[in-house]
Amino acid sequence: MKKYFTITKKVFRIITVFRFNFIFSIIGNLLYIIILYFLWGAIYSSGAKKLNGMTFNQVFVYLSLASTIFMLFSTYLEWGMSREVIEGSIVMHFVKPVDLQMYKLFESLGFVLINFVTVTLPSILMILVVFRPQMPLGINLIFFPLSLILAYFIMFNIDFFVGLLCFYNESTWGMSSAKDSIVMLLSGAVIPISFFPGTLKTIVNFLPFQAVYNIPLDTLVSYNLNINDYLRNIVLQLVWVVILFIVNRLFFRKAVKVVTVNGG
Amino acid sequence: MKRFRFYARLYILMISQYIKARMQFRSDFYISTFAMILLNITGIFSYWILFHSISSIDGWNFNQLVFLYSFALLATTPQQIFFDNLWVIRISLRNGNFIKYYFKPINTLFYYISEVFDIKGLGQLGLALVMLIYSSVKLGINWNLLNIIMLIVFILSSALIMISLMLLAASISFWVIESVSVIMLIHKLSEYSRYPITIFNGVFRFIFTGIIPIAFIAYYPSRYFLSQGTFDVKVFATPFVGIILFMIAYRVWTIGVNRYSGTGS
Amino acid sequence: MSIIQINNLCKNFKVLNRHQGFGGAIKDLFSRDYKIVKAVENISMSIEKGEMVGFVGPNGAGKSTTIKMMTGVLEPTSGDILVDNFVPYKQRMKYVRNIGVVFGQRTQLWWELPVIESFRLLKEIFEIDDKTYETNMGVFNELVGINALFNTPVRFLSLGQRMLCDIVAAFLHNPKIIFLDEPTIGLDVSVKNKIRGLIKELNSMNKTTILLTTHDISDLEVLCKRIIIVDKGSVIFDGDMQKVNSIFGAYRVLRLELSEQNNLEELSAKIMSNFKCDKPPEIEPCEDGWINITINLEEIKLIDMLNYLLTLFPLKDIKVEEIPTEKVIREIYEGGM
Repeated sequence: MKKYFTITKKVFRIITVFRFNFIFSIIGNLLYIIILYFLWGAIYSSGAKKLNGMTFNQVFVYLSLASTIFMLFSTYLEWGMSREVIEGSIVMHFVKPVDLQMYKLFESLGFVLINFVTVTLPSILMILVVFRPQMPLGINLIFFPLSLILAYFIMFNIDFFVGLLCFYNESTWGMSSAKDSIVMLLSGAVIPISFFPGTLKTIVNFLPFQAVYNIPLDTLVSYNLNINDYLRNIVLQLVWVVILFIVNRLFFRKAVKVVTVNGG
Repeated sequence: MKRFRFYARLYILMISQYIKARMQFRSDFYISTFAMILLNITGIFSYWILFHSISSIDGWNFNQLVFLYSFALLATTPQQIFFDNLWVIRISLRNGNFIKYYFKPINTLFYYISEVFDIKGLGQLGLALVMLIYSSVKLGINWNLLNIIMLIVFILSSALIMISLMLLAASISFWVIESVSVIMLIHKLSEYSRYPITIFNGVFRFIFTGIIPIAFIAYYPSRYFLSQGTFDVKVFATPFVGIILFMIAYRVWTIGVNRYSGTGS
Repeated sequence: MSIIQINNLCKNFKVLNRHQGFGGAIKDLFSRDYKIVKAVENISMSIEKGEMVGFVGPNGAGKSTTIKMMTGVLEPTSGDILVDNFVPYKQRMKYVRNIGVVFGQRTQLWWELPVIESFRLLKEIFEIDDKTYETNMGVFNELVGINALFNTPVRFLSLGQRMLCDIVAAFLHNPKIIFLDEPTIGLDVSVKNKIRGLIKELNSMNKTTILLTTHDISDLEVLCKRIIIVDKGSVIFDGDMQKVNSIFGAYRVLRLELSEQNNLEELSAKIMSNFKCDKPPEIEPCEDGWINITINLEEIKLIDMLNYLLTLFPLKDIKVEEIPTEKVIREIYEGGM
């Protein structure tokens, strides 16, 4: 375990060189949140107190945190993997006594920690101070972080899956952007899931994406959930983690042949 | 004029070679074009979802928002297609390869951007045109000659604003190499040009009109076509905003180029 | 009038002071602690048309910074540069028509394009007329058989092939001055020889002035009559390549194979007292029981040294060698002159 944590620490060290980027990432996120504030302000200005069971306040917290979580989870995992494949350095992982999936998990954990300290924490503080949003203050505050951690493991596996797809082609931008578009839309990160029309909502519930954003965010902002709902959501997330983990294991065994057969 | 023809000839030559070389990576072309279209469909799709619950945002109906969106998309397309190399400027600055742009008797900006022609941007262009036509049919916009001329003028001006903003953001890399987040920020801002500026309060209306003029990218020009006679006169400032902003951005680029020292030995 | 004239050239850089460790990294996030680094301090030189000059120095000596100022990339902090009557950084566009630049580690050809397309683009960019282009391409083919590489994309060339292409590409527009930075870096001996031959040929053909930067001393021995050595931002030697060698011509390296282990410090002290020299002789141990003793023939005769050594211990084998140029230059860097 210790050897994996040194990977995390190494990333932390490298990334502090990029101090300028953090400031602008925070500004960027804040700006997006301001846009959200006004856009949804305009949407709610027609007089409705609640749309699809959500107040302006709930939507605002939900979406501004979604953007903040998106930045938290931005580890550029598939970009790194794709670069390693193109350069051929990916094979270096196979001669070391480490498992690639685990290696990448801990490497991206380093990025997540950095993102947390430099972008997420300041952003959350700013949301709280500037907009003073209201949310239920109860047991949900315990389940939210737990749900968020599980969401990260799901997101990691989605990223890793796309990273493995990059073994087959050089279109990193294409793969990564397509992934971001699909995940963001179908997870509720752009429009809350409760706004989705009926059939679409049903479909989305059977996909893993809503477990990344909608579950933790709903846990935080919704007044209608009780402890059973929280537990059920956690279990659902766990199921997705396990399924995706196994899928990646199997896929990795197949994808690795592409790299090792063709050589570096 | 002679110089212009020289550059035009050179550009066509370089780009045709570039495209020929890129065609070796056909799957990349298909995947990234698909992703490009998906990216924008996602944007429209979220409006579509939203309009299940509401009938208008700040007085704009769905088709009007699609028109605004398509206009913003058209205006960002030239920057996407011709200036895409700006995204990766930090890489050549960091590894020192950027100094090669000093050793040719051609303009550094021209030389730099001529290395990449973003083919997938054509997908964006296609989608934007489809959306523009769809929404203007739905809205019954009368495309007479004057309107078509104005459309071209406004699109070119807005495109110049977008190019200038990206050029400014990329030029920051000469001072702070790891500044890709500034480019991302500007890129994001261009997406916000798809919203009606009137949703903001006074402070932000002022910022987006006078300081970071994204309101000129789509909002003011769109109003010209949508509001049938009662548009804001600010729309006619669009070409001037574009030209002035480009002059500033190009100046910053030049200062940056003169300042860069290269790295390594 | 010299083609390159440099007077009292200086260049300073502002550098961020980085801190050590984990906490240091956090501190760097907010630090505004800069220091001034003098990369080039008072360099002066003049180079005549048609000369091929070696420009050498250890890493960080200010070589690259000087080259960058000469090629118009950097503006000097103070001092004057005049190359072919141009002030490089001021009249860049006109100036670069007259120079060619090759940086060994980075290509200036178009990475994705076949070699021939790079040359065609260069023809357009430098507005080379058809006749000059055809003539030069013909010459390049004679010298390095470039036609065989025409259809290969640059990214698929071997390092040696790429280097050959990069060098001839720099000559395509008949520049008056060529700057070659590490043209043989990372290449094996046979390719190095090919590149040296090419450079020599191109230099003599059009009387092109060449400034060559290299870490490989044998490049200099083969190519340059004159070398300029810089260290810590200043010129420490400017003169004949021959002179460098002749100064150290009085030195010989005595290679001895000893039959038993000896204390080298003790040996050094003994030699010093016996011959009454001011400095201890340079003695370095080598592999398999060999040692190298560098001696100045003006101080000690070779035969006296051998006789003396034989009184100390038996010798299994003896070799006498000239001091290699590489070592000479290192001596100059280290202030041995």
